[in-house]
Amino acid sequence: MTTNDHAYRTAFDWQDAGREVAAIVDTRQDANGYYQDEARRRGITLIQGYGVMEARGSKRVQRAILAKLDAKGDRVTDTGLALDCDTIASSGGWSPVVHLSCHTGSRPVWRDDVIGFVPGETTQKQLVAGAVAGHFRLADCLSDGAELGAKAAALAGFPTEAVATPKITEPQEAKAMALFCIPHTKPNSRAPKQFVDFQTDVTAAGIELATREGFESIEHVKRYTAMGFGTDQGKLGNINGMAIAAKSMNKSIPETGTTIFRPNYTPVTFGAIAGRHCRDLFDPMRYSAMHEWHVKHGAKFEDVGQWKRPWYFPKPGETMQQALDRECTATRESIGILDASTLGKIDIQGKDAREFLGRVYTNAWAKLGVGKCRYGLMCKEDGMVFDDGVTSCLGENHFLMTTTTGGAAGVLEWLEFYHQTEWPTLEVYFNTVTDHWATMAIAGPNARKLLAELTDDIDLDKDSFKFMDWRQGTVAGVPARVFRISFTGELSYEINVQANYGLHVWEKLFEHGEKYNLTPYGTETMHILRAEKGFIIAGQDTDGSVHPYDLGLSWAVKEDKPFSFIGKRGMKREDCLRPNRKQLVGLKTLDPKRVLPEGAQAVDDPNQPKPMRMLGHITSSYYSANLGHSIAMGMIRNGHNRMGERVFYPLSDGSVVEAEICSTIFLDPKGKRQNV
Amino acid sequence: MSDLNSLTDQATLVATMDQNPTQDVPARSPLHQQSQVSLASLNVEPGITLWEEALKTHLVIRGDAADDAFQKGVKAATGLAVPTQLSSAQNEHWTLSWISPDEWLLVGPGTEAFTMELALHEQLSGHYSVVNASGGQTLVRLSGEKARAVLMKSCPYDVHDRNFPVGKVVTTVFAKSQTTLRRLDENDWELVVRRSFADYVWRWLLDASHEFGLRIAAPSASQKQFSTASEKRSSASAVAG
Repeated sequence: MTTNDHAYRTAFDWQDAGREVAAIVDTRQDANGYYQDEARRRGITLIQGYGVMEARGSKRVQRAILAKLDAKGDRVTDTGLALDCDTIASSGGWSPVVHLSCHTGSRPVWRDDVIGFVPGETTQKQLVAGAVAGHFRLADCLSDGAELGAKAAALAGFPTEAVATPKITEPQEAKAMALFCIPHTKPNSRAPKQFVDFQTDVTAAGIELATREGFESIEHVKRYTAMGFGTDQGKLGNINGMAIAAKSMNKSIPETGTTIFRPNYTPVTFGAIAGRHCRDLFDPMRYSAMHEWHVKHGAKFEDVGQWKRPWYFPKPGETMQQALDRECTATRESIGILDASTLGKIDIQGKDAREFLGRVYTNAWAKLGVGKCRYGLMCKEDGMVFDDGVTSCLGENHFLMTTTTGGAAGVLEWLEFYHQTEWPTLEVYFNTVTDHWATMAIAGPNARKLLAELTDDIDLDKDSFKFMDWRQGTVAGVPARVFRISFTGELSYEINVQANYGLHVWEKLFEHGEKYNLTPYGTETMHILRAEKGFIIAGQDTDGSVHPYDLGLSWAVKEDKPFSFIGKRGMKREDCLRPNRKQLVGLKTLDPKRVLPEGAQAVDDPNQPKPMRMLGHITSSYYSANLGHSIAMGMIRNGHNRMGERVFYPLSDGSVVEAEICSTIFLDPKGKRQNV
Repeated sequence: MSDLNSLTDQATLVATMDQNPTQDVPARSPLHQQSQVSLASLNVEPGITLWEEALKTHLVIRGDAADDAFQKGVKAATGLAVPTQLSSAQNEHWTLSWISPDEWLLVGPGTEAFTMELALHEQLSGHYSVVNASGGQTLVRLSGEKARAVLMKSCPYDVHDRNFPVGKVVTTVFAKSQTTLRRLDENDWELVVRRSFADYVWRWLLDASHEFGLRIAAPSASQKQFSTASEKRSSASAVAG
């Protein structure tokens, strides 16, 4: 339904998108021009001199009841026409957006020819051009903009030249109709609700009631009804509402006036209408140096931050679970490979680098030797874990920190923040090298054999290149730093090469790895393999309310460091020390095939009355092909002291899953597999 | 080279490493696929020419600009005076750009990363750092009469002549990523782009340039995707000498 020509374009777009336009209902009796001809040419039913006075249907629109209107739109002259439809769109024409202009102290003035308020006089340096000044045709907007732009430049003291505006052919438009409320056969107070402000549910009847109650100033009407209080600041309904108020008081719109707008103004950005931040360019997609290989080998991708990470690598015909089972068992039986390039990497240099690490990590760094790696936990001031990773000592004053993929930028910011505001005297520099190194993690019993085929200058002997050591050398002809660290619990090497050579080394690994059934795996298998070992993922098994002791990671907290560390005091607060805190434990379902949904809540007695007393939720849950049963980790109140006890998980489908509390380490509790 | 890479030296304060291979190994720049794409012939004079300056050396230098020894050390190693805020210094091989109050980016021939890293370590002392970032970023060149118009659409920073004269360097927001933007000439701009964001920035540039007519040039002629060890050694010694 429309009072003007512009809404026809929406109907045409609707039709062009392959949808059916039941009809265009035009309140004007005599509009005739390009748009009406075009509607007919498109075969769209055009009903002129009518309005939609009622929508029928419950829960969704099913039908529109039409009313024949008199020439001014004041009265219903005939009824009986109805249209079956599922959507009704209505247009009362354009309203200049005077909010910003209002903020300068300019009071809007009504213009009948515009059928809207335009900015009035202002004492500030302000020129208004285009639609806000009542120009709705493109050609007028362009010439107005060019003229006033030149004027503004001249007033600012810059020489200007005449600017040619682009030539525009615009169809002739029929005059719009000033119509703010479609009349009904019944008075507004008795008619079905006629919503004016869609955000605050203000109706025409409500506005009329306000004026009858004596709220005659438009500012009072606004406060009586809440009209214009929504987040759209009245952009949709205010003009209609003010016109209804004026009419009910037998006044003109200029007499009633408009409310004025205060900051803040919520704009519709140009980007939302005309910008290029859409479709493929909506958000950056970050790729690793091996991305093209992953694409070629059929990887399904997962979004991790802005990164596209391989999620899993299905073979033709495989379901996701089948692919995961294959990737998981291949890694534990022989060897798997993960593109770990996306993990955050921060180069840390300076004579106080070691001291700085000791202050931001919970554990000790004073004695970590050159060539060694160590796992670290980072807490916020409140003592809650927010990131973790392995940091390696490259030189006496030189460390390479790794962070979670999603936490990389936040951790770098955190380090800079503490350095700049708390400890500016420490001599240390942080630089991101995330993108500079391509990182490939090979894991499994055959990892050493494979690496040995590609390097001749790194001594891979188990007694000289131990677990949590790193070495420098050449891999597939490329200088590399190789870190013997493991997120799978297997014999594992993380090979880092300058990213320009990443794809080459990756391909060489596959060339030599074929005989070992080298299997690429993605983030999902990575999650399963680490869960089999009870390794946490910060942000999945932690949620900002969990301190290292809750996680059972007391070994990663060094209480007696000479200087304090971030979070030390926080994790000693009364609430952090109280008994019965939620603690991270392993959970084994009694039915080994049943995989608990992540987020499921544990209770002691599934038959207790609601609301039940909840003990904690599942944070990680998978089917482990290596173990032949499901595995889960989750929070349980006092969980560390409840090993072997059973809890129940009532699920939303009505079923209840019983599980036994156990250690988080499901596989190889002594860590023999990674120490070979 | 192997002694330089040695870790057994107890005096190792900062690990350095020649990260380029001495054998023939294919190197892939962040845009090696995209920049090979040639667009269909254009019937208009291109307003924009775009290419990647691939496989350069990128070294990030941190230090105290107020420290004379730092100034002198950088000059001795690079031949360039440490540039002040929002500017850069340049000679035949190297460009040194101001990034932030204690940070500079040194860009030069791709084969020279290690030689230059060692030269800087030799000349600098005290509180400073040198980090090789060559694999982590690349240069994109944007040239042509309409280059500024493309940047106006892409950056909130004012790239008008009055605010952005030739020689200026600014690290700023680019679309939804970031770039270090340097104006080389009236119609010639250079963007430093992070590797993982390079594809996004490149596609953004293709889209933003489309209305002006776009030509994608071959990666800069001085760069090769494949370089041999012997070439590298000879040029390394030239600089060292």
